[in-house]
Amino acid sequence: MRGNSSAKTKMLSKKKLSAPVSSSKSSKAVPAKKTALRNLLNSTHSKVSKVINKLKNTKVSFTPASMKKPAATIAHKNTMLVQALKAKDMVKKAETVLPKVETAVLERPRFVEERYNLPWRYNDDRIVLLPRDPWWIFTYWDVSQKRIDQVVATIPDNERYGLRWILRIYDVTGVASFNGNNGNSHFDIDIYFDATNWYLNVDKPGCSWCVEIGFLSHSGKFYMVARSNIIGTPRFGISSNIDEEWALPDEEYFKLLGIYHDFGRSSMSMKKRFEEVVKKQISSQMASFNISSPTGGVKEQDQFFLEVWTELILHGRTAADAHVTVEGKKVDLRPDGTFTQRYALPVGDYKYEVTGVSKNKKHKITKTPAVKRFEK
Amino acid sequence: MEKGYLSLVLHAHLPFVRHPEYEDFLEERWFFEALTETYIPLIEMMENLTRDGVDFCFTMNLSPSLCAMLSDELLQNRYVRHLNALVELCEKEIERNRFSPEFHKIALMYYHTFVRSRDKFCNKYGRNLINEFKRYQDKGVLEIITCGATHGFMPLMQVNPESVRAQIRVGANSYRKFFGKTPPGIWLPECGYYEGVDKLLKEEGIKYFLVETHGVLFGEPRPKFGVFSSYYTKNKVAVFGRDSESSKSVWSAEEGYPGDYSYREYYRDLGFDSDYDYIKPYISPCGTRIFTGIKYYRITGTTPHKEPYSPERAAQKAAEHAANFMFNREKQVEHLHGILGRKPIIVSPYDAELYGHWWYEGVQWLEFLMRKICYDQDTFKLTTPLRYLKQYPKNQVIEPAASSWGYKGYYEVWLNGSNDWVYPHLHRAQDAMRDCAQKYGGKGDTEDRILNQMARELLLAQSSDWAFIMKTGTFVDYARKRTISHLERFYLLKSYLDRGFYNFEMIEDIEEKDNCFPEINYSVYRP
Repeated sequence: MRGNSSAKTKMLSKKKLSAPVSSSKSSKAVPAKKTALRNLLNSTHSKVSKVINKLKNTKVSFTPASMKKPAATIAHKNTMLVQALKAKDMVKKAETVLPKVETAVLERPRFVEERYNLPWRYNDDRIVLLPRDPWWIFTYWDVSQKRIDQVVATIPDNERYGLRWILRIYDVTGVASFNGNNGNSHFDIDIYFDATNWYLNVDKPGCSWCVEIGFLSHSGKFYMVARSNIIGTPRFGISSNIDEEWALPDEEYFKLLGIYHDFGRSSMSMKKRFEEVVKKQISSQMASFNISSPTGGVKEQDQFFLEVWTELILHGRTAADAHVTVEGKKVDLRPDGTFTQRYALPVGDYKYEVTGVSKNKKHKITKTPAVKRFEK
Repeated sequence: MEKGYLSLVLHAHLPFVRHPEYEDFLEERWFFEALTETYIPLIEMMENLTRDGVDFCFTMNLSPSLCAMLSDELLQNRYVRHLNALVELCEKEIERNRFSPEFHKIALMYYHTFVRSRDKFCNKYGRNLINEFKRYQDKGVLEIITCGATHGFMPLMQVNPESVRAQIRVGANSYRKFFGKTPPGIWLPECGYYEGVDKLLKEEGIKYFLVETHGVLFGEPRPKFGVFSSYYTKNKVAVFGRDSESSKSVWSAEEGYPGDYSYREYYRDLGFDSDYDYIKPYISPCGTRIFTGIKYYRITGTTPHKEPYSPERAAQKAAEHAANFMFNREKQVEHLHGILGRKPIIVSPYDAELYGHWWYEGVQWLEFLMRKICYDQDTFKLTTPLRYLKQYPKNQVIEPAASSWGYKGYYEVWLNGSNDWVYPHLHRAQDAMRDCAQKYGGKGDTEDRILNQMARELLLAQSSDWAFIMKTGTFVDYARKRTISHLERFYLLKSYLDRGFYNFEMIEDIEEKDNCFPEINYSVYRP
């Protein structure tokens, strides 16, 4: 899901959300679906193994620390299962999901790791949440193997089968101190653990959010590994909350915003229309370009071009202490008495009257080369 | 009697780029070009307006990192060297174009500009423009405001409030040092606002800040006057919103003035057009062609065919556009005055470097505009946010909406697939800075000295410019390198503290390279 193409990401994630894995429901739904899922897993086995191979290939190139260790721990078996299930999910949704995960994961560490000494991993068991806009939030995580082992140890043996890495996103709007159980609602998203970050489409401006990363067992039980900070998505839209002291009739208000009251339009639809205008407006680049961006090079030409210029080189030699002029203007001589002038030569007739005068002013020579420059 | 006000706000900022370790450094040219094309012309504009007794005023943000560069001796000397080379190139160009009158005239224009800039910079301004800007602030015509210390984007820093506070406080202290008082206002980097920033501004005694249009419009409760008035946040800091109509006429790529065919074409530069051997001494030391600033053509049209630039024709256009801008503001003010029941303020903020650097005639346009507003109409007057607040001290209280003035209005420009990898690193460093300030602060002079340098490194790594450049795609390697190398220096210094072992030679070397904010005090990072 992570990647440069945010448009695609958005599309995909919306798809994901259009059938949200609402956890309160999924905890009931998963056991019922379990056998069906297993069957599906078997039937798509060949596809899945292809996908897993792809994932393995991906790993070769970026090999995070945790993947270098032999995959003998339970957690790693789980990781593989997570991947298998994840992969199955992907097969089910669309084949196109997968390459995006690969490229995104591949791209990141190259310059961080090879050329500089910044740590690639911090292993500090943290998950952090950042707002991106009213509809999207961004999270990144860094969980140590130790913490994973610790959590896995608390999971009963019969629950350890089919563990999946998930993000559980809580709407905590208005919740005084969130403790993991008192959120307003939540939903889950299957993730690829090694992606280390994810863009989440919450689609709800003006709300507060918290996210947990952890395992979801086949029976639908959630084992939290780390919990994030709480952030808010920006509000979007004109407030309906009107200050008594500063009230202005809607009609006047929208006039102020440049939206005029059409006959029969409710103030609600005016509000909507205005918000559309704002949305369009903020999507057009109207600010904040950097001085650095234009100095990079010539603007990409979308049309083919050919530029041809001509110059005339006028050069000569005289006594080192002579005085030389071209069309009346003094020319500097080199110590050996030679000189070189270059002139732009546009279309037209030109003459270059070169005069040399000896130091004692007794001798004077004038030569006047002339050229005609034209386009054939 | 006027019916309303226009408040022009110029946001002048460049990331701190200074490389004493290299003889000649390409990216330092950003600063040199801005000096020649924007900052010096703006001062000259104020000289002209003052000389002619024009009643004018406007607001300008001089970012702390820009002030650090403006006052830096090494960069000042390098700028003179840069101008010397340009003057030399112009002399050659004058000679080379002797028999092409159209180009000869333009070469002369550049020659005179560069010679004049050099003369004023060295003699009249004593190589330090800060004092010049301050002079106009003291006269009361220029309202200078501050910015985050290194233009760090605060909404993506909010997991660590100490870091946001440090950006603001170090910015305010830099302002106090250069301008001798508390900054009246602040330009939040990229207009990036989130709920809670106002409280930190209050702590610094800052009276106002600016946000993007929807930052005010989506405020809570509904802001009665739209963006055409001041408001207070609940912490009693005033907030102003950007007017989009006046912004569009200058910013917009399609409808904006700068795209007029008579104006100078930015992308056709001698550095790219000229014969290679001829231009080689004046381009990048590694031999890559770059912009020299000598540009002979006007925009002409949409095809690659370009006609020679005509300064007279461009000036004529700038005057027409100034008249058009003024006319539209008159209409706007009249319309708003009828509805609001108070005199509206139209706040028009722009990147300062747009004027002169991008839009070559931009400063000329500004000067025409200020003259016309003074003499050619009575509908509105120029003002500054502080003046407006004096006139209207009672304002509605709103909570502005989180927003920025970047593309799409929020944080995506600085948080996307091209640059999101920086935040895990930055956030850890921010935490480490806070922890170290607490753990090692006050232990001794050496510890304090190292902590101060760590603070500088962290601030420099936080510049939103790096994430922005990674997104826009030119100079990406440089931006990455800057982010990473400051963090590396940060951790190196931290390791000295952790081990109680100090490599003073290395510490000195880092201090010499990243010498901004000499007055910094790490204690700002204590929770």
